[in-house]
This record gives sequence, structure tokens and C-alpha cells, in this order.
Amino acid sequence: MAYRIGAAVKTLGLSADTLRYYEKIGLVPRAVKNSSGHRVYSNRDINRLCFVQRAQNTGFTLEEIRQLLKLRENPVKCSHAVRSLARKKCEHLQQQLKTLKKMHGELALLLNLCSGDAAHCPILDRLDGNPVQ
Amino acid sequence: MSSPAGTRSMSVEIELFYAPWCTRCAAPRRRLRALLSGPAGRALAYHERNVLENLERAVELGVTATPALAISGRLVAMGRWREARLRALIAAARAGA
Repeated sequence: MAYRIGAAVKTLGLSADTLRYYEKIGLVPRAVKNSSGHRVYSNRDINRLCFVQRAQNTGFTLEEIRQLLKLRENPVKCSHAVRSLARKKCEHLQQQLKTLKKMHGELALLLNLCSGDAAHCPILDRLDGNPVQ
Repeated sequence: MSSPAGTRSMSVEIELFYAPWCTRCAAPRRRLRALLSGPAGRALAYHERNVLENLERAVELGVTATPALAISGRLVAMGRWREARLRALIAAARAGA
């Protein structure tokens, strides 16, 4: 089945600009044009784009996705490399989670400290830190 | 404020988190100082921490409001607390120290 760009973006939930960008950076092959000059995408293209989306939703960067796409060509031989990439990503996410938790804790505490109608604002005070005099 | 120092090593640490503008903090702070200036304050380290200046520490302990009280690195009370409970917590911390 061939998808015109409108149908492809609808199926994938992407913007046409994003789709063109993926093509431009080589993440997906440049779409072929039909006899009317419209870009068309095959099932294979759509599946590849779905893979890109899922990988992005899992937190992989476009560069990492490029590596995963290469590894995808031969998943059996490359499972060790995929695992290693996924492990690194998992550790990175764990670190981000820790940072986010800390940021959330700080902000929640500041919100509780702020009555919203006092003469000074603890949130701004905190962000100001110790201004240079 | 530093607490009265005892002769034993100070293994029990009390941290009171307050905010300078917090009207609910003044009374517990005063009562805590009074309590710790007596026998209950022997051989422990007492720190009053401005929450804004010690935000990371406060968050690490799980403080979400002031006043908040931590004993030996564990958040034990927020808002209000009874003196009897505080005495019991200090005694328990001493026993476990």
C-alpha cells in the first residue's frame, strides 16, 4: 500500500515537517514520487517511521535511533549492541529521573512556602540566589 | 543556634527547618530551644536551617512545609508536634544512636 504524505502523517501522528526532516537527515529513505509528483510512502517506510517514533518515545535520541535502525537490519547478530545501547539509555533515564524528582521536590516545597499574597516571593528569592552586589 | 554541648560524642542531630516569614515557625522554634536548653538537649547537635538556604537538604529529607523537624537524618514532624512526642523521639534516637 502506498501512502501520500497527508495519509502518512495522519497514520503516524507526525507533522509533515518532521517527516521531511527525518528524510533530510537520512533517518528514513527519501520518499519516492508517484506519476503525479506526490511523495508516497510504502508500508516498509511507515513501519520504519513507527520504529523511529517508538524509539523516540522510549527516550532515544535521533543519533541513537540511527544506530538502532542500522542494528535493526540484522537483529540476531546485533542483539548485544542493542542491549548495550538500551542499557546506557536506561542508566541515563535513571539519572534524569533522579534529577527530575529533585527538581519536583524543590518546586513543590517552594509552592508550599509561597502564600501567593505575601510582600516577598520565596520562589523568586530562590531563583535569585545571592545576587552579586 | 547551636545546642548546649555535652561531654559525649554528638551522634544525635536535630534539624529544624523554618522560613523567616513563616508565622507558624516561631512558636515551635522557641519551644524547641527551651526544651533543648534543658536535660533533653544534652549531647546532641541542634541546627536551625533556613529552608531557602538549605533547600536541597530539605528536599532530600522530604520536607514539604515549614516548620519541619528531622532527627538523625529522618523527617519526624511537620507543622505542629507535641513536646511529649518530641521527647520520645529524641529518647528513641539516643537509644538507637
